[in-house]
Amino acid sequence: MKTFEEKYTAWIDGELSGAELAAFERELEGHPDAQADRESTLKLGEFLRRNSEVAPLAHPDFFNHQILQRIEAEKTVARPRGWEWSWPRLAWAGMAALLVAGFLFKAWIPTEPQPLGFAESGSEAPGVAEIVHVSAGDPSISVTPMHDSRDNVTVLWLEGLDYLPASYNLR
Amino acid sequence: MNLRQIPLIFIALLAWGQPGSALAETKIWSAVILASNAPEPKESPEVLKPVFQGLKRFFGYNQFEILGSSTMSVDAKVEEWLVPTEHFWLSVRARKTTSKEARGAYLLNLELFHDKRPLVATEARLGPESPLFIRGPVHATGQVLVVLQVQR
Repeated sequence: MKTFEEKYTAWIDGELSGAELAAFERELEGHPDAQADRESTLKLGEFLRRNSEVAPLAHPDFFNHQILQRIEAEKTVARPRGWEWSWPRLAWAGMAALLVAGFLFKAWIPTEPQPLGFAESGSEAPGVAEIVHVSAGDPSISVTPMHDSRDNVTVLWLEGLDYLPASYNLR
Repeated sequence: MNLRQIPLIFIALLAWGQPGSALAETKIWSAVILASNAPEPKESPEVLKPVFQGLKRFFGYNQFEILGSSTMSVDAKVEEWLVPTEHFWLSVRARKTTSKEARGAYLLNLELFHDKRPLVATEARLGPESPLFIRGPVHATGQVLVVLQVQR
């Protein structure tokens, strides 16, 4: 069974006839704009039929060739010629990076020793040595870091160690 | 420039930036010293001469004898054992400090053992002219000292 839309399209196209046409026109009495819509649609169809004729191409192959050439040319222009990595470029880039790294290494990290003196722990003065951290080996031992700046002597002074008798061979 | 020269330049640059050559010559020297007072003190060992007067004043002894010594290379990036004598051992890990303020110094993590007894563990920053002394046990003949020094 046809839907209303199918019958409506068939009515506009003049494909309904007989009892079917009469029944559908009775159905259309509830749609007062239907006749105006039909006339508008027929008029549009007529207009399109009259104006849709395309002038034949004189040389269609040449035209296609021209179109394809234009597309190819636009493709070439559209592709950006960005940075492309190649082995020589990679090598130069690596060398440049290495030079920068070497410069930073030489500039920031000291390699030449300088004479040191002692100072109190925590000091950041140039040429300073220090006891950063110290702890006794067991609770019976006490450790005191000592420093004599006049004689440049730093000592970890341990107390609580066992006395070693003369019989104890130190060597 | 020929592209074949590029690897050579790489190698040269790497060698230039490599600090290992300076480290390889550096050693950590340790010794066990017996400090005592003698009526006729023996001459100080050559290695202690720069600090002899300081040691004398600091500890109050006039004679310092080296009982034994041991040396390790600083570029060993692992823990090393220094055994200056049969009874005193040191576990040492040394690395060069990167602080610009302490240029040329070495950071030592060390632990001193007397026989099997751990006496002290410390982290100390030392330089070639700045030895560290550890006052060890008292012996019937004098005071035992342990010294650590960076040597080049």
